[in-house]
Amino acid sequence: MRTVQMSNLIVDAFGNALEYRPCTLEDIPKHFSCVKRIIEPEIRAEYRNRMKQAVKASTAYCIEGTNIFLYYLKDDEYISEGVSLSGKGKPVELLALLTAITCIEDTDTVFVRFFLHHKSNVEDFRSLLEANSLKGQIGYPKRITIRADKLRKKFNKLGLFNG
Amino acid sequence: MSKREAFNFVNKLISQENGRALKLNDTLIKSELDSLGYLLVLLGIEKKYCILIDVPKGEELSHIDIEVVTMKQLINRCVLSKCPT
Repeated sequence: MRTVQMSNLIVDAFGNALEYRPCTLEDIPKHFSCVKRIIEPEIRAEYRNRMKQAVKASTAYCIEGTNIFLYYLKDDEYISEGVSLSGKGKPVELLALLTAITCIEDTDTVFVRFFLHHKSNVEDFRSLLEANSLKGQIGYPKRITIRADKLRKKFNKLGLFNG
Repeated sequence: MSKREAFNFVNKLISQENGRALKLNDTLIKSELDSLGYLLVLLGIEKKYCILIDVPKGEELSHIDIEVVTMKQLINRCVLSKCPT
């Protein structure tokens, strides 16, 4: 049976409406294929399993018709573990998705912790990270932190969301 | 609105996104921001200086070529631009 999911609208930074929605189990193969090359072969099964958990926990969202998504799992009300993030080279759409998640769907999470995989580059996430995530830890997997509360404040200050 | 004020403002935005502060003749790409960082800096500048006010819809992001535009050119745009009152 195919999962039915409701779409929602978010207005991007330049005033265009974009559809975002919770990810479904049917999205996982397509989304996984976008990140597969950076995931070490020995942990791919576990990675997909965590994507499934995020879908079941309703903590996975994507922009409709794109490969822009974020899967995460909540440790508690305020702390989450990032599972999968894709949006490189599409900053307007990624910003819209992050605004929708932090300002509408999950206004409680403060920290999102990620492990960077061997073939991913911390520089690709530079603007999302705390400065101390950009220093130290030469080896991989490198642990990085995104402060969702600071993103929320920044998005509000820029007028991206005035809920 | 002075050029010095615009220069400091843009560099403050860049450092908030974990980029490298720029000198006057540096191109924007030297700030080493990621694509989301450039967008957030652009939106911060736009909010204060309305530099995109005459830019056709859909061309906002491509309007400023980060590989070509220098800090000096950017702050000139800031100073010359006028937000509607």
